[in-house]
Amino acid sequence: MNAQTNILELRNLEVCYGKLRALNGINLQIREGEIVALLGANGAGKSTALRAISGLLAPASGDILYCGKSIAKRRPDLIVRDGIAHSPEERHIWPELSVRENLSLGAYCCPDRSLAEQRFESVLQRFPRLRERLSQLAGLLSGGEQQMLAIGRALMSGPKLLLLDEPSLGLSPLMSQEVLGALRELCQQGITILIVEQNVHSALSVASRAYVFETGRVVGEGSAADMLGNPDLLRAYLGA
Amino acid sequence: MDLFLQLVANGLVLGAFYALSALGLTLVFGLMRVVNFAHGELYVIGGLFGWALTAVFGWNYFLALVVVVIVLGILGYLIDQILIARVRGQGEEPTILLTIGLSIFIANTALLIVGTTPVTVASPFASKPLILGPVVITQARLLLVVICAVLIAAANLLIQKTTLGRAMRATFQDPMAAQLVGIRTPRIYGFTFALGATLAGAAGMLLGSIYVVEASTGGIISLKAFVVVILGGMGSFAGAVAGGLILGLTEALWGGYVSTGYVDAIGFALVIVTLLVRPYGLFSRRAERA
Ligand SMILES: Nc1ncnc2c1ncn2[C@@H]1O[C@H](COP(=O)(O)OP(=O)(O)OP(=O)(O)O)[C@@H](O)[C@H]1O
Ligand SMILES: [Mg+2]
Repeated sequence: MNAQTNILELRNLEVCYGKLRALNGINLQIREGEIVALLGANGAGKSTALRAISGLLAPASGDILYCGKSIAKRRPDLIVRDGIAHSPEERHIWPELSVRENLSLGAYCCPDRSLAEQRFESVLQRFPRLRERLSQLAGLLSGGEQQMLAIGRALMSGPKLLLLDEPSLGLSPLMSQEVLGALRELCQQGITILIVEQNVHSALSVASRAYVFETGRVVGEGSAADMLGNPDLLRAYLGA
Repeated sequence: MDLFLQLVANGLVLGAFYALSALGLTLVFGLMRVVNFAHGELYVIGGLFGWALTAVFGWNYFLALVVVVIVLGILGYLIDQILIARVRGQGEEPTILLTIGLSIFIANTALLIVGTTPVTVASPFASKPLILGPVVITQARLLLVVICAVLIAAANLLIQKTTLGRAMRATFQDPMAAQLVGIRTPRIYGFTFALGATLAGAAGMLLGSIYVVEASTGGIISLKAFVVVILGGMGSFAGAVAGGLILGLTEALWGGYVSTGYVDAIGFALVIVTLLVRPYGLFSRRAERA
């Protein structure tokens, strides 16, 4: 696969919650090795898009292509095995499981024990705070530590494509920089990242490209540099 | 003093049996959070099946036990996937109504087939009394206490130490997160309910050789199992053992010293007091941050 191949492509994707249509025909492409940001106001449909990609929601119509193959009707566990990991909005760690159990369940689909062990070590190296708290219940971690745990758990599946929903939610600026730095390193290691972020400036500081969502549609897209240089766009859609 | 020791021994044995009969509910209600009012009926099915196979058809006891375990496992899986799956995620009321309906259905079907006569499972365990100092206990009871301890320890190991057990806990705590790491949550629900039904049925058959089995007793068995699970703090096996022992001891001592009339009410009084004093049960640990 060369750098020009799309690792992920959404084609005319429509997703509904009951009668409410949350995505109205989304088109987007992500190339291998990129960091792409999804921006937009509350309720625009960013999280919904991630949920559809990871198989939690079935598309009403349209298609999701991963490495050229449709995954639109695939079960979530098979999508994880294919190499897509999703760190959801509000973390969703298991509060009454220990930090160690949370992480090791991240490798639930990895039958190779030694590989899982290797990933475990590298997650702990990336987030050393977690190492000190391995046997603590995850619900007792601070918000930022829980966020690290959520990202670490997603990494335990050894993803090729990482979906991150507001990873800096509730983090101090310093901690948030730390997380964004980690994303850059992951990207250098060859992991493609799709990130949803409320903070436009920090999103555009790591992403190479971004899509702007508004009420279930894509209303803008471009390189991070172009977007930062386009105050009208930022003001119109993002209030930045 | 001798009476006291005998009552304590009776209470401990009874308590172990309560823990055993509540083991399935510890999984299904304590962990999976399905308020299963059909638990007692699953217990009764195990007992009646065990009776039919051993006493009517003359099968070997252990072979019959294996069959009961398998049949209840399949039955439990089907109940979950066909009935409970439809109301999953819709709160507690629909599940409660569903399992109450199921319990009425099972109890009446059982009444239709075997009638109201109490029956007993034919067991190979000797009912010869063992005399330990001032305390008398039958061999059969002692053996059952041992089996009970083994089953509880095995269930606890499964839940706490295996990947499957971890996946179960993860699924019940946050099903969405469980799906995202690749756990097939519908199967985990089905498997857990099946295991709960199996344990209920096995308890029914094991205890059906000591006590009688009656088609209509499911309700009281469910209620006492709820008492044990709630006293123990929902989903903790150690808690369920403690809950069972507390209930058994209190009943035995109350029955021995005060009156036998109100024995069945003791458990419910205990639960009310526990819920007032420690709403999460006596032995639970919570990970809620202040
Ligand atoms: N489970 C649900 N049931 C019904 N409607 C939902 C559900 N989840 C989201 N929605 C609706 O779908 C729309 C898109 O929601 P989504 O969570 O994708 O927004 P978002 O862009 O992630 O917003 P935010 O920035 O606030 O996280 C919203 O109008 C929301 O109300
Ligand atoms: Mg969102």
